Amino acid sequence: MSLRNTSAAVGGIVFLSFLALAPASFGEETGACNFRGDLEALKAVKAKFSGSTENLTAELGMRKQLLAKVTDCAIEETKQLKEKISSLPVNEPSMLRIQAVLREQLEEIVSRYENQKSQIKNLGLQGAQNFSRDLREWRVANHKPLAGKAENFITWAENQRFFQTAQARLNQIRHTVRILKLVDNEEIQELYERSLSQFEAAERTNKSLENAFGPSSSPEDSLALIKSSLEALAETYQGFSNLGDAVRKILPH
Amino acid sequence: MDKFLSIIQKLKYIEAEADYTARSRRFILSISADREPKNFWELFLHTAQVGAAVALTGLLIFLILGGFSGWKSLSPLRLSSLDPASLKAEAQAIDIQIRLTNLQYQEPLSASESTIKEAAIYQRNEAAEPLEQGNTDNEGDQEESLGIDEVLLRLAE
Repeated sequence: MSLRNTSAAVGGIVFLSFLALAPASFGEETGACNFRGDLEALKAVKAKFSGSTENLTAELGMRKQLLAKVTDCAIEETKQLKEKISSLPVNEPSMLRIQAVLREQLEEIVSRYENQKSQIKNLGLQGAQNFSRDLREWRVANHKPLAGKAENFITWAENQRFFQTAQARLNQIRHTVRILKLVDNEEIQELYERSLSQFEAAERTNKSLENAFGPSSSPEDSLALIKSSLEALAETYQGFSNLGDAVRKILPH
Repeated sequence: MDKFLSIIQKLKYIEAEADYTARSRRFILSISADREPKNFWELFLHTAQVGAAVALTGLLIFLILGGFSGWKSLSPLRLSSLDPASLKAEAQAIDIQIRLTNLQYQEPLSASESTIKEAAIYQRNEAAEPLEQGNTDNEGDQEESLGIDEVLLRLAE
């Protein structure tokens, strides 16, 4: 009896020591959303003690604390993403519609996390494990695809300035080629026409993204179109460069 | 004698007909009586015709004799649209954006992933240093952190 009481007392003292040290070892040094230190602390508790009620209580406490921290981190990341979406300077009606939908969907994600967090305090040890598994599965199926679409939308919105710059460049080149028609050079005309068709292809791909953020679309769909449109734009600039080389060859020095 | 003097005195009154005088003057000055402006509108049209003739003649002379030298002076202005340096800078910005797109992940970015992307965005704006250098510098930090999904996986065990 006395031995058991002594063991419980030692376990309690050590447990309280861990709690006292928790602010130093349970999150601060690792940053807001980096949990390596927290997991290592949990692992240490599990390894050091085994079997007794106090030990299991300590482990459960740490699991709940970690789950609450994970949920808070997920909420904060979602809110930040929602803020990035909201602050985008979009003007096109199609982009405004997609922006509004994404904002609403991210808000629903935040609500879901907050609801999940409210259930943590009632969890047992097995319940905490099930909670972790279910939350992860839900994230993979819902949150991650939506976050991918949101990131792609941000990239797409940022890409518009590249297209606007290329359009302005093309307008200037068109003006130059019209004047150079006095020279009537077939090579220049051909290079110009090729650049024009490359830019139009890039524009078409860019515009097709209006339909790439619907509920049935995956983040991979929009990402592939974004990359394709940028690559077509890069080819357009190669065409501009070739045209410039050809023009400089025929002009007097 | 008196009769002779009176005839000679009459000579000073001899003059050409007014009409003949006018016709001769116009002929000498090569001005047609028909083309002489009779009112302000005709005067204006006449002046415009003369001005246009002078301007077109000058342009023809310019094109024949001075055209090529003028073309040379216009070339630098016309070719600013195809300036290699500015084309290269715009193309580089697009290239960096393509690389940023390749870095995108399905899940929300962690702090270390945000650092990589922010470094790449800085490089895109500066269009200076290569992207890979930024990736290399942050690789060590990335290995030390554990994201949300990894933690949930461990907690489910």
